This record gives sequence, structure tokens and C-alpha cells, in this order.
Amino acid sequence: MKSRLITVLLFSGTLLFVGAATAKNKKNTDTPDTAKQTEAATANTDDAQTEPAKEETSETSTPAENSSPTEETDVRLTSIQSRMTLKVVNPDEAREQLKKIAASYGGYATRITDTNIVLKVPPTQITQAMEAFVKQGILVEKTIERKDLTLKIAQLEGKLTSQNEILAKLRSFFDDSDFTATLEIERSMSRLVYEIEQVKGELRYLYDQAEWAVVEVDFRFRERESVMYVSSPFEWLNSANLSTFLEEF
Amino acid sequence: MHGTQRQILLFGFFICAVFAAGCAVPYSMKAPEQFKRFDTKNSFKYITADGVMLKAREVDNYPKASLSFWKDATKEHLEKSGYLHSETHCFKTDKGLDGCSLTFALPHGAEDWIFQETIFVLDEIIVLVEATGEFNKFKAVEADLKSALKTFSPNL
Repeated sequence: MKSRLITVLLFSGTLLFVGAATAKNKKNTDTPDTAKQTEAATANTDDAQTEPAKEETSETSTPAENSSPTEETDVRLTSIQSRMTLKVVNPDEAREQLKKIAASYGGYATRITDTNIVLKVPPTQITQAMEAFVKQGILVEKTIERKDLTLKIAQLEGKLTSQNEILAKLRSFFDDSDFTATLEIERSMSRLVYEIEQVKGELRYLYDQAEWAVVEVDFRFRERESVMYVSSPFEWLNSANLSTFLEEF
Repeated sequence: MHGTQRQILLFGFFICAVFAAGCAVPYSMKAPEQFKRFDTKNSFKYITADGVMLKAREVDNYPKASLSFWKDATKEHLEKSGYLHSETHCFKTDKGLDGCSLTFALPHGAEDWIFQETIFVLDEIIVLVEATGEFNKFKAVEADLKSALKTFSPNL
């Protein structure tokens, strides 16, 4: 009986160790990719700020996407977060209009304040939706950030599968275990269930991020470069500005 | 009518004609009703109750270039200066004159303002109709101003 308990303890210990080591390895391999993704996202943001027309190009050239993370996953899961500042005459009307536009593309508003609105739209509709949003005012600035979540999700799903397998194995030990062994198995299982729930939570969050593109629209001018005097080779253009207008009026 | 009287009358007409020519505003436009003539002298200045201003002036078309050239040059120059281009609207006036309005937004003090430059090229001269005002106040009269610009006519 004693030898049976030792076997159970050794087995559950080994399984937990293997599980933890696998998770750690995955985490280590995941870190550089995440950095790459963030870097790529930052580059994408910069591109979007300077030349919004390059959005689609930068989207397809993300390093993480080229690294073919999993063979099982065919569909890319991408998180899209965009932020734009619009100058509008009437923010209340603009908010209503933006909500209607989001709804027409299958989306909805998640947060509304006096100065901004956060909208969620399906990622496949993001380009068209943003074009429609921009028409509601003068676009002051726009950023768009894309992150490939495919690898991260695949890793978490793998972790979840292996944890569920360990859990099933531990359950099978119950039948032939004495009181002490049962307690030890239960402790291991509680720890495992807690970890499984954490992974499930992370997965739910990532799937939600991949399911909806988030667009935050701000109705005020953000801090930006102020107007400065620039000399023109065409003489009359040097007097075509607000300051001269006000001085001469 | 005596000859002397006729001469006085003719002289009077002549004086009035010269005076009228001297005082004539070189431009005409059916200004929107919100705009009131700001200056009664030989100038073309209008203002609304809440401070949206409009004036016209002329500059030499030098180097001699087309409306399209000046439209692009103005956009380029003001964007370099930090103005935010929001719209370019090219149109024909009721008298068939081609014009282009360029609208820009810019921060002015604690407010956001609109600066609009409308360009008409008349051979050696460029006529500029400039309008400006606080963002929301300008937007309130923008449509009327757009219609009024179609009635603009330089009497040069």
C-alpha cells in the first residue's frame, strides 16, 4: 500500500513537473515573438501615422505572420486596435452617427463619454468602417495597431490540452488510492484546475480581441505641433495665413 | 437751360463719376445675411456677429501661373506651416470665373479655427477671398459662404 502511494506521488509529481516545464519552454519561445509582434505593431502604427494608405501592406508584412507558428491553425487571429481624433461640429450628433455606422457593419459601441467613443466592429469590416467614421469630421490623426495572436492562442490551447490530460490521469488514480494518496491527488488536482481556469480566461480574452476590432474615436484635437511661420518662394503666399489676416483686418 | 448751368451740371456729373469710381469696391458678392459690411471704405471686409471674418484682396500673378498651380502651392505652403487641410472645393462663379476654395483647420490660442483661402486667377492678377473664424462658428456659416462665393465678381 505504501509503495502504491509512493508510485502515485511520483507520477503526479512528474506530470506536474513536465507540465510546468512545457509551459515554461513555451513561454520562453513566446517572448521573442511577442517582442517582434510589438515591434511590428509599433512600426505599423508609425506607418499608419505617416502614411495611412500603407495600412494593408504593413498588415501583411508582420514578421510574426511569416513565421508560421502552428500547422493546425489555418485562420490568422489578429487583434486590431485603432485610435483616431476627429474634429466635428457637434460631438453628440457625431457620436450617434458613429454608433449607427458601427451597427451597420455589425459592430457596437462599448464606451461613450463626452469626448470620445469606443466602438467594436468585426475585423473584416474595419477598413470600410474606418473610412465611414472619418467622413464624420476632419481627421486630425489616426493610428492602427495590429497584433498576430495566432501563435499565442495555439500555445495556450496546447497547454490547456496537456493540462486536461494530466487532470484525467490524476482522476484515474482515485480508484486504488488510500486516504493519504487521495489527499495528495486532490491537492495536485486543485492546483491544476486553478491553472486550467487561468489558461481558459486568457484564451477567452484573446479570442475576444481577435473577434472584434476596437476603434477609439476622440472628438478633440490632441496635442500636436502648433502653427509656425514657413517662408514660401512665392511672395504672396507669405501673407496668406491667419496672423496676417487678423493683423490686416 | 443756360450754357453755364449745363456746364455746371456736366461738371457735377463728372465729379460724381470720378468720386464713385474712386470709392467703388473692386469686388462684388451677395454676402450671406449673417455677414455685415465691416469697412465702408474702399475695401471688401465682412464680419458676422460672432466674429467670422471675410475679406478680399489681390496680388500679382507672379510667376504667372494657373489656378491649379496656385491651388497646389497654397495647400503645400499652409500644410508645411502646420495647417490641417480639410477640403478643396473648385467651382465656377455665376459669371463663369473659375475659383478654388481651400479650407484648413488650425489651433489658435485655446481654440480651433478655420482658415479658408479662395483663389481666382485673372491673367496678371490673383484675387484672394479669405475667410476665418472659430471652428464651430465658421462651420455654422460655411454652407452659406460657399453659395455666396459663387456670386463673387471682381470689378477690376
